[in-house]
Amino acid sequence: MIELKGITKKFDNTIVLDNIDLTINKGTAFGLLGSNGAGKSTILRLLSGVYNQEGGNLTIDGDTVYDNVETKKRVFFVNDETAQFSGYTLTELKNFYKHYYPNFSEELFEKMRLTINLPTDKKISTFSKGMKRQAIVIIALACQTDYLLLDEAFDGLDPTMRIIVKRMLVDAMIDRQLTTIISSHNLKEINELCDTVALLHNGKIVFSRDLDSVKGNIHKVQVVFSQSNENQSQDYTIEELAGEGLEILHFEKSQSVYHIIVKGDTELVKKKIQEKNPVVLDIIPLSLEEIFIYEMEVLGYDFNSLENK
Amino acid sequence: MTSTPLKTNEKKPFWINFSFKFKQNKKVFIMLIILQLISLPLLMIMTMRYLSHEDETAVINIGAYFALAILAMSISVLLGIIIATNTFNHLHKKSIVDMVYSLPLSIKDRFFSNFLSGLTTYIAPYVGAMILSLIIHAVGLEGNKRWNELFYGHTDQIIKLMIIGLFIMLFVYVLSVFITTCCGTLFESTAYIFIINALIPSSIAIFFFTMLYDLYGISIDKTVLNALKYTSPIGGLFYIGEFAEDASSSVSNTNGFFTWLGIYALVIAGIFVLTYFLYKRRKAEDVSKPFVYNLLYYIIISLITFDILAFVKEEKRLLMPLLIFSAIVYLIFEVVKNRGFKKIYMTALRYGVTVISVFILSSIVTATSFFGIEYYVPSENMIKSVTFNEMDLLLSDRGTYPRLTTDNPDVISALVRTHEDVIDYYKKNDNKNKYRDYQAYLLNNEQHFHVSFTYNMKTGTKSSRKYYLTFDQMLMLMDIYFDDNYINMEMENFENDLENNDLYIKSKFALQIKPYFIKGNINYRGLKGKLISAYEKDLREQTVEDILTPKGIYGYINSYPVRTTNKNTIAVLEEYGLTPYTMEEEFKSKLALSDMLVTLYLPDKDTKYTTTEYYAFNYEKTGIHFEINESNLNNRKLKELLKVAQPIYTTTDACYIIYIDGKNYVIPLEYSDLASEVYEMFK
Repeated sequence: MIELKGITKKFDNTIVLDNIDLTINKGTAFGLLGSNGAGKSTILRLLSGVYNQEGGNLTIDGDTVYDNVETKKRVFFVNDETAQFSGYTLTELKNFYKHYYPNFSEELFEKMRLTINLPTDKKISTFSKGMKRQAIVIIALACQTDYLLLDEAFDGLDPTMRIIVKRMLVDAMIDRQLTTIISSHNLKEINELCDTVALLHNGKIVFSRDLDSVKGNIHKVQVVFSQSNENQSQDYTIEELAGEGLEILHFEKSQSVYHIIVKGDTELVKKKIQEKNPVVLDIIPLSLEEIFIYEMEVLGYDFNSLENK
Repeated sequence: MTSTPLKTNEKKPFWINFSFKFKQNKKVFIMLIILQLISLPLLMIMTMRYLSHEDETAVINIGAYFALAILAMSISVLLGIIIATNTFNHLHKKSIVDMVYSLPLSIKDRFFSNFLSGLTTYIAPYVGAMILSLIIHAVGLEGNKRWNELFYGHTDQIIKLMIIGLFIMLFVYVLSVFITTCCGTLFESTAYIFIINALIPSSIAIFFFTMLYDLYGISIDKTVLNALKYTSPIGGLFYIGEFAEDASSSVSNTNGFFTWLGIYALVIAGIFVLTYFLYKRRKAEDVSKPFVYNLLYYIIISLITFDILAFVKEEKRLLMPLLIFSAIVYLIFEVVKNRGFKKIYMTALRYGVTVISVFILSSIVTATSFFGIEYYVPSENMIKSVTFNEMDLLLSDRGTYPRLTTDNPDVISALVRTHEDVIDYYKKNDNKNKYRDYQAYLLNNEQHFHVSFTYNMKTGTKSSRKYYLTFDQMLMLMDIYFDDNYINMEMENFENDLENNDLYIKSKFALQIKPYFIKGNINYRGLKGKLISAYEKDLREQTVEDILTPKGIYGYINSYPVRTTNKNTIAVLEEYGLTPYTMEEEFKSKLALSDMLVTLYLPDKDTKYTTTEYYAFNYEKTGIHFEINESNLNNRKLKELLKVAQPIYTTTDACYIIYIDGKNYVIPLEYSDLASEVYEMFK
């Protein structure tokens, strides 16, 4: 289990992570969401022992990570770079890593390599970006660590390869309870792979929950209210609706149709709106991408404002 | 997709990283092997070739190979910078930071495996070349006398020289790793490695030359050398020069090598420990910062500013131009470091603080006479030996400047006492400036003797001074003349003189040369051998009186005086019929060419010493001028006076002095009446 308690990370005088608490259970596929600069990669670097925190405690299975060789043997970090491997062939890279990770499996490596058909004798600098990613991912999986940290790991993979690599990951998660922590801007992938997500913004955790509860707790409501005296639909302001106890993330009216993003239990939201006698009421589930956008909008990260500029 | 891990990979992370880094430096390693093969072994082979051919054409051809070997050596030393920056590339290459830092490898293992891997890459080819060179040396030139003399007799020195080279390379590498650890970009790492290598020796040199130049008696060049040789790779190169000079000294300071090695190794170890400490503290996120440890940058920029402004101490009128120049340099460094004109007011503030610090330091140095070094005289029991680098010998016609190293306790004691006297004399005198410049002595008509010496301390350090001594102070150093090392050195000079020149015998007036013995003469070798042993015996038997107030001078062998007490030497000369002209013969021969103007000076009771030394003090003496010609040469009184005139003589008695053909001759006190009569006769 990974535990971050009151973690603070600073770069010079800039606070990148501000008193973060986070728990990631063993065997979880954990997705890290957040805007650029939110601190997702920093968390992964703290977990892999690249960085050391300025405050708080970080443990993996009860052990610290920074400068702790034994803990690091249980963690593999695949970052968003590929340039570091350019000077080696796949075999050389494999030979390099296999000495560091005691559980490295040549058999598994060879099996995966044949699946994705990577050459062993060519310099990695001759590989495409996607091939480089495949190479490091199969090495990471062959190391058979307990924890795999992936930072934009699917970047550059073609759709077929994405499926293959994801399958390899899922197999590892099922077979040996691999805990995977994925940071990605591709929310579709997070949606497909992860069972738990955390949203970060400005170095703080906005939420950390299992994906189903995240999805079940936020809704898109399309509603048309009954007509008033002058043959017009009744008008409600955001404040009036919020006053009814609804946590509204987004509010928009197009002619007589209201588009509202509301947080909370589905039944409760339905009940509150029905009290206003709507003519039409649709409650539609949101995709993870939509949830991300609306949550970020509340936090002042409004992409509409960027579009309007 | 479960699989069983292969448990064959039990290699320690330290060695995994070591071999990984070694492979990373493979190309440089191959380059170094080639370069090292054409440096030390080639030097050894070319030296053998040089010693086996004596014609000049061979020397010219060998010169090109020597140049190639030196060039190869220089390049291979510089490659240490590339190895250091390449081995520690995770400190400036952002793309590999995650890969390197996330590996299950402790910081300690990462540092030491990187360090040793790079060092092995750098040093192994040199060590290989050393061994190969020593094998070549051992095989040598069978039967070649010069090779046997020059090299087999100096094997330990050759090995020591190679060890010096090894430590210089070690310093280059450690310093490069240190700078790489302090910087976060390849540009800063590389640039500041070169800057620091140049800055350490230049700052030390500028500091001493500008701050100590007006301190009384401090031998700046020697002091600078002492400070330089321990503190930088370039300083190590200076030590090679000193080592070569010391190796050829009569009393070789063998302790000096080990002291240098010890201190040099300590300095390197100090930088290494500091580097490890800073490496441990360094964070992964520091990569791409120009300076991870800004203190280093501020030290460097302050030293550069100091180096520029230090010259103001010597020449106050340079203040404004140097302030402007240093400000521009400071600004350039700041703009490069900050990647633009950021917080320029801070730059101005820092520059101001640096300038003020430079002037405060300068004032402290001046006010304290460099923390008391000006008046410091070491304790006798701390001195291992002393080296007279340059010295005006008392009562020497030859005017030679011997470089003499001696561990004779009497000489050491005499020098310390003389040094203390010099300092006391200086402290008591208001007009201190006059002791700094021999011109001042000349203007005061005071006799002065230049001496430059170095204390070789038991700790292996050196302390050098140079002074102009008074006659009294020179007399305090008379023990030198009885020192075995001095006599050996004199005999070596005497032997070399006889080896390289024809033999000339001159009378005490040295007006004419006769007789002489041509070097090629069949009997010369036998004569030479006898003369050398006889002269040495006489030198060892002479007393203070023989040196200062000899009873008479028999003549000169080339420029070496033979006193009438030197019975052994005189016997050999007479055996070979090499007696000098009689006085009458010599003067007649000289007067046949032209008449001679002489001056007879009255005794000067105001002067403490009457001596034949120097001429300057004659100017204000009272005397008469007269000619010696064929007619007055027969004057009995004059003839008698010339016979008793002494060309080497020093006494506190007030005596007459006769000046003939550019030289002073003292008339001993017992012949003052005779001198007085001659004086009256020619007045």
